[in-house]
Amino acid sequence: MSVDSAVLQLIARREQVLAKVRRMLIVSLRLRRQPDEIDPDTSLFGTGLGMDSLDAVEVVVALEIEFGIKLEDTFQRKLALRSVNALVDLVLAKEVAVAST
Amino acid sequence: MAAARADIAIVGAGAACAVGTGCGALWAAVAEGRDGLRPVVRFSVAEFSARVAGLWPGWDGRTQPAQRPGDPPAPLALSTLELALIAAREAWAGAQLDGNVARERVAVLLGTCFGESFVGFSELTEGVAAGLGARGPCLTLSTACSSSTAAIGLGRDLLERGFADIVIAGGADVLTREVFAGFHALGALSRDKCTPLGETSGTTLGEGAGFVVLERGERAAARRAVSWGSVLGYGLSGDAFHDTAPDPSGGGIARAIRGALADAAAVPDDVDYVSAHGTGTESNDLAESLALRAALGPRADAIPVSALKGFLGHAQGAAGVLEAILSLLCARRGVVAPTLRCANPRPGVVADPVAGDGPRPHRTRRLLKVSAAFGGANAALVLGEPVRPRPMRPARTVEVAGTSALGPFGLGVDLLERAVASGTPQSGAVPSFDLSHVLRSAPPRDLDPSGRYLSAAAGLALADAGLAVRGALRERTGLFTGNARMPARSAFDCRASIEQRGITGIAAVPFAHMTLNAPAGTCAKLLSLRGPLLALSTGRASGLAALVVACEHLSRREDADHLLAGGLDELPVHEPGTASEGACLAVVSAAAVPSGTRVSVAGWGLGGPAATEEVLARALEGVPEVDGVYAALPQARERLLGTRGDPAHLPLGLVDVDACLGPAEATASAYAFVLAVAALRRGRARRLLIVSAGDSLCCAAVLAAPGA
Repeated sequence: MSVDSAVLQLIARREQVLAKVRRMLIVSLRLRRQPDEIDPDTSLFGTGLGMDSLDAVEVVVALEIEFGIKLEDTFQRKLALRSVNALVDLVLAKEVAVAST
Repeated sequence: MAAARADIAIVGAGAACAVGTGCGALWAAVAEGRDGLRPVVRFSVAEFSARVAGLWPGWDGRTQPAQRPGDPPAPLALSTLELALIAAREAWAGAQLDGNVARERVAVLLGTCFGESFVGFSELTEGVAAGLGARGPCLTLSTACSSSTAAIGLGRDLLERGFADIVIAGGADVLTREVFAGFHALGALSRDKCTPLGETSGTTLGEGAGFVVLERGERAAARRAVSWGSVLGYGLSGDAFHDTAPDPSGGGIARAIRGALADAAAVPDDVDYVSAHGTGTESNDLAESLALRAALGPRADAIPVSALKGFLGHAQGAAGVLEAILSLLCARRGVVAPTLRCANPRPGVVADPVAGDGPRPHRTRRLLKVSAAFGGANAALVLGEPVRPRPMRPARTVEVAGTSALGPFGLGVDLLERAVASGTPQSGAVPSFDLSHVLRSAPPRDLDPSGRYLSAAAGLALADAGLAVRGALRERTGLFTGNARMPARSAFDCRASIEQRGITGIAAVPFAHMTLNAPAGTCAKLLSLRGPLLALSTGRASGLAALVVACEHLSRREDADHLLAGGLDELPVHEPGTASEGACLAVVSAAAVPSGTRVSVAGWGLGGPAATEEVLARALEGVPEVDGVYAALPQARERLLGTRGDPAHLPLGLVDVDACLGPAEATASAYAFVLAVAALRRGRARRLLIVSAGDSLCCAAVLAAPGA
């Protein structure tokens, strides 16, 4: 497989995960937005998607149901819930971890 | 010299909670250093990381027959009313009132988070009144975990203003598996017994009921009743910060404490002891310590401050009254109760959390009881020996600065007027609308319908008043809502999440939004309303009751200038029926507002559900003839017959809002108020009477046109 096609595959995979993450956020945060209105760099808290610690509980539950990802400690949560892209990274990292075991 | 305000004495108390039944059991627990926290057996907690709670031992072993032969008997659910009546009867008996008071003059104020099985709120209070034979006004306060603290404060007002001769005030909540799961999902539960003000974070839930009997001091002395101390002052405030967490700066709690001190004509040095809210969560305990320092100054670190949830667990809506009773019991014996399991205080908390496991000798002349709650609703009480005469301030004039209405007819008071004029009853849902068109501060996410309706109504009413709530005005502006049922959509979503994901998958957001005061918390946060925050229920008449209580609050207090008040209803999910939903608010103000034509509130009254005549007489005291009546009252014409509000003798007659609009349980009476304001603004009348009644109370207000 050429380098280019590997990169393309990675990009495609990332787009798929992004779409799933956007859908998950719209449902669990009751966002009044279309998926493509959520920029991947948007932060989840504060002025971005307006999430607060209560909503974070919902997103953590949704991550577990949707992707089988458990975020146990506060540090992990803070890191993962920075932005939409951070969530996508988390899901992709988990796929790699599963694939390499 | 200004006359002094009446002293209000506590002449009886009753309790049933984790440590047992009766005030004797409360004291014994402290004397023996014994807590009431145990592994839960009433329902399964196997799925949770927390296993202990403070359940009432009086229910131990109560079971119902097995559903199938061979199964072990299932635990029987404890009724909140049953628990409430045990405490209320003890309080009533202790006050030795029998034969000494007219039943029509006995009011019942009950604070509760979850009512009777999440359903009956005003019905629970009415049940307590019926059990005691009380026939005065009933008020149900639901500001989550500060509910019973607020109930005692408002009860004081009813006595002081002569709306009752005896007040039974307190609260009740039972612990259910759903509530346990909700707090578990929020990450608020401690794995083992909680250690308030100590190092581990998390609370331990409990349940219970507690009531005090209040009476004017003069009356109590005349019949030689034993006083436990006086209710000297209370304060309410809103955080406008978060749905479940306190404002970490403690600013909201500090405002409630300052309000209570000012109301009591007390200074920090008058307070000898603080009974803290002290849930045991890191966020609460640190915010509360900051608040105590902000409001009491160096006194906060010079006096004992203990948290009693280590004994009782967090008894939800009953927590405030139970902790107040226990603190008074200790004060009578010249001791303060310790904070259990607090050998290693959390860094940052007040200097003396009374670590230890036994009572400590201490003279408490006056104590401060602090409560904080979901939705940022804080309450504080000052109890004990009167400090100095509290001057009777002249009543402030209360005006209606702005109004709003939304319902099946759409958004706007003009649409409400048109719907009433059309004579065709309209019922059903509020047509869909975009909150961001009404409120610039609307979040990018959907609120539940109750939160959306209330926030829209609040935004429209403030705009109508020309009031921009910014800067210092945020702390002078509050919100009193009257609603009858839990927010339907959030309660539905919460149940659905349990059905789909199991009990540990209970969804945190709808759980936190299904309390009666959640819409008020959401709305206050969106609009930065940091003044007094209150959610009350009287079933029908809730909206007008909230308005009357708001007028009373503004006219006699100095800690708020503007209150949004009115009613809110949300239709049940997937059960259309014949009811209607909506929200209707008025901005009542005791300070200048920019809006042009101001209608003044010339009088108000409230009393028992059947006391129409007395309530109208009170509201019309010193008021010349009225031109017409706006009523949300079953059999309005019959009930008003022969009173000063008899429509047959009034030029404009009667506007029967229920008949015109179809039933809106809590909101109809607020529609009546807002319709009357609109008529007066248009110069159609000089003075109008608004009256409503349900099974809890009857209430009325008189509005006067500018210059009338």
